Amino acid sequence: MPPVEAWEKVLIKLGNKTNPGELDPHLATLACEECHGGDATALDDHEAAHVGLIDDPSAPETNACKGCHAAVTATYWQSMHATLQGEQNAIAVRAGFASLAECPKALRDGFKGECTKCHATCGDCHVSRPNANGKGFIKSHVFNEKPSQAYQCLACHGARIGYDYLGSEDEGRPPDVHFSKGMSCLSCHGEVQAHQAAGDAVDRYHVPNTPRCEHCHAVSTANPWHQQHWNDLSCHVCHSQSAYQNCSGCHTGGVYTTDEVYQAENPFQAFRLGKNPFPDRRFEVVPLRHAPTVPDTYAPWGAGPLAAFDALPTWKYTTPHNVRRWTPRTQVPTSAHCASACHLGEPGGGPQNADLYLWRDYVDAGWPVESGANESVVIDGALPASWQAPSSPSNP
Amino acid sequence: MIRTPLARTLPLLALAALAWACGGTDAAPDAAVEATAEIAVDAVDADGSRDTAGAEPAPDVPAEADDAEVADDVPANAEPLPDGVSTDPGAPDVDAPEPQDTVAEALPEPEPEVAEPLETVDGDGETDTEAPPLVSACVDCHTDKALLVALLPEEPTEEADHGGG
Repeated sequence: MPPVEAWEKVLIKLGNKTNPGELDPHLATLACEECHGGDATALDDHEAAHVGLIDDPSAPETNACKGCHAAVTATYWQSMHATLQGEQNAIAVRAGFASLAECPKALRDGFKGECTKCHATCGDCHVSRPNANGKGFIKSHVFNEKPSQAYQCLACHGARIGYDYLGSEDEGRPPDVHFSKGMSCLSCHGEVQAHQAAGDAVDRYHVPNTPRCEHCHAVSTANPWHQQHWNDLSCHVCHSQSAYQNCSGCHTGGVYTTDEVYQAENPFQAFRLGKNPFPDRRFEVVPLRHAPTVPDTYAPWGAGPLAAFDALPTWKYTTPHNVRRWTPRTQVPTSAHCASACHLGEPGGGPQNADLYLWRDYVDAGWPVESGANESVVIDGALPASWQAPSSPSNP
Repeated sequence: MIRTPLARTLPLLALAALAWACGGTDAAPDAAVEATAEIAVDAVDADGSRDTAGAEPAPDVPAEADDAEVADDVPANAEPLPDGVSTDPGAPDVDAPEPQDTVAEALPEPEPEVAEPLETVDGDGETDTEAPPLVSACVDCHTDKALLVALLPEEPTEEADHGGG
């Protein structure tokens, strides 16, 4: 996302208006200093006027929006966007504690200093680019009811989600079919999901009102593949494009961005199919993405090795936002068997498609320190015998 | 029946030509003007919409890209599953509705928020719903691009960082 100059971040463009109050009702009823503080009487002194300035009045410390929007702010500050509850939970569980509050000070301080900078305030979604993204008005100082997908949603969710969802003609990656049909982030992730309290959800997949494919797409009685696999494969197993932006596509110690051979051998890092880690979801097999977490991930915070590192997989449940009707798994070569794109073998043929799955040997070879953490999600022993187990899965 | 502009015009033009031929040289242009005016009025239906019955046919609108794309993507060699399933495996999900914003619609309405300008009293004892002028001095500077450019140094033009997802 192109950066914004410092002056542009604070310039209220009036256009054909004569007063900011004509741009937005908030600006007609609230003087600047009512939210932003400072000294409005210091007319000729730039520095004095900005003493005590509140950069983002909607931040939790001041919570300026509460005065008029009490109901929504009450739940919002307990939402996943505000608390990063999923991240808190992952740190705590891997450290061997029930909650972040019980974790050693180094972890708590590290989370507060590093992770919480991505807290989304009201203004991050309704006024400016997110604070974590450098700030800057989206449309003068207008309060937009609907966030800007390009400059607000994807400012934080652009590295993986936006990369996949928008696609790239240059790279030959088609966009997600929903984007092709004109749907935006808000088409599925509405205001209720964004503002509601997360409750005791341990990750974003378990927040109430999280969108599901079947909210719009009912089970098909006409499609035999859906009938066959509705209850054992998640929709994304078949309908995610292989070109998928995994964390490891970038966070590989710089190797990915500098080593062309590595890039060629690890295109987009992709995902692997493994066992569903969520027992409350009906699927048996789901796509998994690799999150580059290791036992000493938080050593820079001064924290020791994570005592319960194996408690959570590092190959995590994922729902790639690169959905298409036709993918390498729903299309098969001419005259090939329909299962040839997914099953490990076809009648009369040898093992194939092994690279599609997350095998224990694959994890052991590529990330030996993470073997124990991923034992619950590796696919070994979970596929039907008729699919033929591969004799030697590929290595990373 | 909706008459086309041409159908209405021809008889009027014929009348005008006849009047002109009979020596009324001033009648022809007047009749033509009246005819044109009538057409202009009649071309608008009683419902206010434009009468396009006599208009040029609309240019061919290409089929939606999505439809074309799906059609192109259909594998020609789709085969049924081996377990006795014989339905066309490439058939689209006829039961699946078109993607809509149904999720948001199905969810409970959020708490109502204050969206209208707050009523203010400007001291005259009457409720004033118009936007009062801002008294803040901040506006003078923050609407002045040249001043802000001069005051605020350029920042490194790095791509902004991203979040976790």
